[in-house]
Amino acid sequence: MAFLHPKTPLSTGERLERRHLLVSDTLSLTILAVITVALALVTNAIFQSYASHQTYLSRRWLTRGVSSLHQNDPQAAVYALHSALALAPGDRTIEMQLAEALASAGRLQEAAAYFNTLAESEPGEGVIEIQLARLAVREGNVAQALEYYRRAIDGDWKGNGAVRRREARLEMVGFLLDQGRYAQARNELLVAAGNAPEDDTADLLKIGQLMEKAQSPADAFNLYKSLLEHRPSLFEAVDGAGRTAFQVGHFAEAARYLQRAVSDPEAARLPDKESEALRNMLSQSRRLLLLYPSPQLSLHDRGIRILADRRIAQDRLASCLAAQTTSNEPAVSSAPAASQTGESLNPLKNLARRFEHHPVETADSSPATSPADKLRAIQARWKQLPAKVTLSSLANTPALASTQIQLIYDTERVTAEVCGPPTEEDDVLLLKIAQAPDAVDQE
Amino acid sequence: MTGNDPAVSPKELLEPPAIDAEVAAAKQEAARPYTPHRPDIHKLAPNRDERLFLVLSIFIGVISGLLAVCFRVSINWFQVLTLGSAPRPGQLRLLIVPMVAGAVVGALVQIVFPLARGSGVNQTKAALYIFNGFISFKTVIGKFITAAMAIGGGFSLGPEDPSLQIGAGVASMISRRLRLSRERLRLFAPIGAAAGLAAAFNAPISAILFVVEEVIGRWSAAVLGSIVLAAFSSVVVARWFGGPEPLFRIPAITPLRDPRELIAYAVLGVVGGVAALIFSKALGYLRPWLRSLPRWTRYCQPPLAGLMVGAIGYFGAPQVMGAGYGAIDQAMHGQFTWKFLLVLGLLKILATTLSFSSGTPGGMFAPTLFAGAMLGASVGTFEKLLFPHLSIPVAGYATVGMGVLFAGFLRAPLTSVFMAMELSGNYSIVLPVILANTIAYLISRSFQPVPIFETLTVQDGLDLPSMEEQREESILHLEDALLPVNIPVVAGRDSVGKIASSLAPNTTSFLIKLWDGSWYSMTREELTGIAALCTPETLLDTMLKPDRTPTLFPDLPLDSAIPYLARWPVLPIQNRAAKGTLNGIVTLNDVIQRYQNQVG
Repeated sequence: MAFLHPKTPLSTGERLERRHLLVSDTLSLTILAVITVALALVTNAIFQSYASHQTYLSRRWLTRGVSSLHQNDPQAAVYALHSALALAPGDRTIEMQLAEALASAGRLQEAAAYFNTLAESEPGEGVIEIQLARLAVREGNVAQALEYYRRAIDGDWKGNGAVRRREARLEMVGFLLDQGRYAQARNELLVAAGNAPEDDTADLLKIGQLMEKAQSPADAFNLYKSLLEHRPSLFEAVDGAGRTAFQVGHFAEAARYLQRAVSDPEAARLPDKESEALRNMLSQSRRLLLLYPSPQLSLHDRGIRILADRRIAQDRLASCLAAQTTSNEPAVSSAPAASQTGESLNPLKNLARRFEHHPVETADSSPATSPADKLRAIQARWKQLPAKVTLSSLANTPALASTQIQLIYDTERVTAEVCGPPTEEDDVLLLKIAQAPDAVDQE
Repeated sequence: MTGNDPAVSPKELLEPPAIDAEVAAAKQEAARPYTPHRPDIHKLAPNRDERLFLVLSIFIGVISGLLAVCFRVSINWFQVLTLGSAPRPGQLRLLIVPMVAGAVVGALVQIVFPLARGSGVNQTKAALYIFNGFISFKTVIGKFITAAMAIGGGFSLGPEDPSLQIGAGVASMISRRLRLSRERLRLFAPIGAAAGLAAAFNAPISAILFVVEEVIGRWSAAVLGSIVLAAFSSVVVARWFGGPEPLFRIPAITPLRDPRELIAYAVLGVVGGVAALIFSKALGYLRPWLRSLPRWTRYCQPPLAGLMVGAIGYFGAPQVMGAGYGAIDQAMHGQFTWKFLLVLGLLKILATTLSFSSGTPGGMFAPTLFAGAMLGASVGTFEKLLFPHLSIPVAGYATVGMGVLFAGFLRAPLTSVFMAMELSGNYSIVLPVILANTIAYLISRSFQPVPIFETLTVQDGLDLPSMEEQREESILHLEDALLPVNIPVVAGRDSVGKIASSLAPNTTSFLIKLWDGSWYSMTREELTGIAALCTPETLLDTMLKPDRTPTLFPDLPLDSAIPYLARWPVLPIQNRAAKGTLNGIVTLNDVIQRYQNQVG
């Protein structure tokens, strides 16, 4: 200890004193070191005991909170999870649970604040963004909800990211459908269908069903068909394919799928209304195919159908003309009432409704032409044709057959436009054929 | 007095009127313990104190850190065992526990540990300025036990100030055990204080600044190194146990994007200034009133205060009980609505006023931070509702709010700025903090000229230096007393006879410029004495005494000349830019007159 060396010479007594001082200081520092070590051990013991107790308490509160959440008691869950978090600050599991509990308890503002803070601490985490989207949905904030959904889809997901992203997208589609944003929903569904693995039957079925809700039966039909390529016996896909084929006018396919669906044992498990609707669609498809003068039929058979359709069309024209002359009011006015009272399970009524909302464009229609003029034009075209047409004349004159068919279709379309959707089943079916004659037996 | 003087017993120094139990107890306690160190130590080991100083600083830091950790854990244990792990409104224990804890603490403070009362900051200052750095072991133990019970029992007080005093007490005990000089003993108290505070805050820079700003009052090179060493040692210990995370988990704060957002912070500064004012006024009124009541009521005051604080918790706001770190964390993370935040901030001020005024031991740092965070978050949340485009997160407002109340209420502006930065770990928040803190500080100062610590000091019957006044004291410099060189100036190489003949009869003193650029001032009497001893041809510089007038410059403090004026009749003041050139002279009369003018 050089610092003890004095500057001035010391006497013998002073040197002794200095030695005592040296010993005393060394002893003091040693004691101090021992005290420090002892204190460190005591502190460590106290600290560890509290830390383990804190962990125990935190877990206990977390368990209580999760249990309360499962028991649908979000208020108790919030309290328990708050307590758990106070004992384990920064524990992300607890934070997430707490935020969800707050949302369940209807404390949306707090929950949103919580999730926002979590999002700030880990930006782009999908699980947080989707929670924020759900909160925005509950608050009715459409723009923000869509933004959060978009962030969730693009965000980070721990674990199976692809599945979680698809789930988020489908959840967003559900929200879009609720908002009536069908076009947006269709786009998202197409992306989801493209991203979904071929063997993910459940997701593909869900996507198909959402496509139907998004008024995109053609996409849904394609999806069901592709699904059936891998799982030919999947009842939900057969059922869906039948329904959607019917909607898009592929009645030959519709009849085939619907027949499979109806005869599938799974169909017995369907609710009565759905089962009845299936059967209705099937019978209508069959009837429609019987009305359809398919080019693939023999001349004889085709002629029979043309004559039958001719009669139906002429009757329809006559009744429409009569309605026009007896009343100035357009017959269309009766259509909404009919559609309102019609059961949704009756596909014919649904078809009629669709035509009502989307009046067809006819070849000779023009904005300047009045409804009566259109009817008269159709009537004039009928008059130009021979009054009596036979099977043999149709068989011998293919042009006549074509003209007849075209006029039948035009009649159905114009009368639907002028007098509203038909109510007679055959008229409805014939009108349906007239809309897309080439699709009827398309495979 | 020199460092070798035996330490004067605090009993001799403590002479305020004995109106108070604490002061009386301090006198009694201070009379006992200290064995003055032997005067010959300086001769035996001249550098001993200096060398031990640094080593002991580390020991003090480590031990203070350990004690601070123990203290915090004790508070937590007490809280969990009495109030439960999750207090919530409606629990009867919220009423009973603070009341019972208050009764026990009140009795202990009145009977066993009278010096444990208060926050700890003023007691440490008193130790530094009055008791030669003396804080007894009993006081340390008492502070530890009573403050842990009070805070753990739900009183709205914080552990930081007691940690500061515990650290100072540790330093005092260690330095006494090693029989250091009184000068060193005094210095050790703030070193321990910084260590204790740093460990409690887990923020060494803020602790160092606070001790310098509020306890010592000046930057002293002699002690700064040791304070830094002790503070960092204690923080290392605290982080060993608690981890490197700051005291509060503050979410990422986006930097200020638009300077117009500073207006939002300015509003917070105004709110904080008003809140600080309310807090100071409430304490300034309630505490002396309670102390003026009969002595027996001091046994009842803590339990009653505990009951009232418990009632606040029982009826809806248990967050205000205890230090409230958990609630601050929740506010930082935007878990409360702005109305509830506002209510919490105001209730905390009320609860702390009740707790502290009742004489219950505990600190005001945590409650100040709590109230500031709540008010800041409240203002931030409200402003975000009005102006959703504001980019600053609520945590930013809460952090600035903490600094704002710290600046406005505790009146430590520098510490408040650094504390906000250190606690948030975000430098980009510095501009808002400076702006808001300055506004709050100015508002508080304008309406409450006396800082809270000084108010408390006066209430305690002590007379400690005001750090705020010291900071703002205008220091006189030599240039303030400077006179033109109106006395003769001669060259040292001239002969004695020539100089004597050149002086006018009424000349009483003159300056001699020597060959090496140094100066010597001489009186006529001294010249006469020299002339009697030599021939007229003798060169004057050969007859001069070996010392020279000191080299002084105009920008030096005026008091720097005083020690030399007993020896020299006139002091030459030199120009820093041109060595040997004079700017003027000062005399003892000029210096005294200048001081008198300042007082006048």
